[in-house]
Order: sequence, then C-alpha cells, then structure tokens
Amino acid sequence: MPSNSIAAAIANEFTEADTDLYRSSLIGLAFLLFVVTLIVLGIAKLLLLRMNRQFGRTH
Amino acid sequence: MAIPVRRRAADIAAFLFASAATAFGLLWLFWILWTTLRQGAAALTPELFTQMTPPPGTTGGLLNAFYGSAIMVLLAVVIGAPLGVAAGTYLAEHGRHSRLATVVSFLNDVLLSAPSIVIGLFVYELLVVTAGHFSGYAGALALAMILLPIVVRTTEESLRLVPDQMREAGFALGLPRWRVTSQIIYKAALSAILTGILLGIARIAGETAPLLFTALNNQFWSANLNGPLANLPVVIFQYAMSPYDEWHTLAWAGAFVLTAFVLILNLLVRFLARKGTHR
Repeated sequence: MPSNSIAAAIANEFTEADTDLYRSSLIGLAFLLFVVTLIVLGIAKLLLLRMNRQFGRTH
Repeated sequence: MAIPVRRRAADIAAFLFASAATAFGLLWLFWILWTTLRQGAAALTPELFTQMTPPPGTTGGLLNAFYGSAIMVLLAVVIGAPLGVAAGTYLAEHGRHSRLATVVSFLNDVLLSAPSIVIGLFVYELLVVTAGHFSGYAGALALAMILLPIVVRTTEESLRLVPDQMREAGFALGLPRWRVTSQIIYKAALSAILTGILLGIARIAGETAPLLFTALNNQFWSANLNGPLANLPVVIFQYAMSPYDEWHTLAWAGAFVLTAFVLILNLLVRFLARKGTHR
C-alpha cells in the first residue's frame, strides 16, 4: 500500500486545497507534526535532566 | 617484547571495520555526486549560469534560480545571523545558570527540530496571506527561522569553549562586561562562530519545503523581493516531477551544483575550524 508522510501530504496537497476546511485540515496536520516533535524533544530533555541529576551531582 | 598474535589480529580487524564503515558512509556522498553529475552532465554548460529557466521544449539555464536562492539565503543570513549570535552570547555569557536561559535554550531546541514545512506554513500565514501574494521576503524569513536556532546553538557552544581565565583576565584589567565579550571572547571564538554560520548556510541552501509556500517560484528573471522569486530547490522539485526530458536534465544539473556547493562550503568550514584550533 502506498503510504504518505505528513510533510509530503502538506507539500503535495496544499496547492490543491480549495476549501477552507481542506486548508485548515492541512495546517492542523502541521500542528500535529509540530506537537509530535515537541513531545519527543521533551522526553529527550527529561532523560538528559535525570541523567545529569544521577551522575552529575559532583559538579 | 613481541605483541601477541591475537592482539595484533584484533587490532587489524578493528582497523578494517572502522575503514569499511568510513568508506560506507562516504560511498553515498560520491554516489549522489556521481549520479547527479551523470544525469545532469548534458546541462552543465555555460548556459546553465547565463540563461533563464526555459519553457518546455527549449533549452535554457537556471540563472534566475541561482540568483533568487543566493539573494534569499543572503537576506536570511542578514536577518538570522546577528540575532543568533546575540542570543547565543546571552545564553553563554550573560544568562549563564539563569532560569530564563534554560527556558530559552529549550525553546531554541524546539525551533531547531521544528519540521521545515511547518515553518514554511507559518510564514505563509504570517506574510503571504496578509500580503495577498508570494514574495522573496517571505522565503528569506522562513530560511532565517531555520538558520537562527543553528547559529544560536553553535555560538553558545563556541563561546563556552573559551576558558574562563580569559574572562577573568579581562575583568582584572577593569574592562566592563560588554568589552570583555566583544573584544576578548568574540576574538577567541571568531572562527568557531563563523563556522556555525557557514554550516547554517549549508543547511538552508537546499531547503525546499519552507520556500514552497513562501517564495513559490518564478519562471522569469526577477530581482523583485516583493514578488514570487525563483529559487533552486523549488525549481529542482518542479522540474524533476515534470514530464519533460530537458527539464529533468536541468533538475539534475541544479542538484549537482547544489550538492557541490554544500560540499565546498563544508570543506571551507573544515579549513576555518582547523585554522582556529592551530592559532
């Protein structure tokens, strides 16, 4: 089955988005993508912070 | 004392594996260069740099795309680099250990990892929708937003590498903080900061997604930043998807020039960084 990524969907379909709902949906997708990166980044930061607390006390 | 055979064998094996891994990594770069060169060779003529993007069925070059890309990257650097250096200076010098600096640093990481297409859409809503037309300014702003966090991060890192003794020496002479930063710390970290800016340029030169909705494209010669502006990545994107053979060849040639440009920029970075450490 052919698959699509969020970024590719926005890039390919944004020029064809003729209704407000269509356009809003694509921008909503962009928002979702942004939230996903935010969550992943937050988890990474949390792990780093915990590691610093465990091993970096002496500094 | 002779080295035991087992240890020597292990050493040779480790060396071979490491070399193989390096070769494997380099293979892709040369493969990309070779493929783009082979496919685009027919269009790699002086006309590539002297003529406009052609309509289907005729020959032409990519001059307007090169020009548009260059001008937008330049403008992005003019907007993004001073801001980035200033913010990086705050994080490394003035705001050290402060709560605000931690928050700014995290937000900078968010911007650094934000998908470029999201930045493109944001600038589209911000500038293109309000102005009612696509523009080179919007494209430059989108590129600047990608460049900014890279410069902030590299500036911060390179300023942190400057030993504290140099700051103390400056303070001992009675210099105010801003003079210590601008005349001692910047001098010591100059090549590292420049390296960061060049790496940022290498990064934004090939960005397609943020330009797709902001600068769009222009088939004709245009130096008007307030209108749609031709640019290399979007031209490559459009020509590669087109059904015309001449356009495919042009897209390959453009891709080759872009890859070679980024490669040369990275070599320059290497050269600069080495100069910085040997001083």
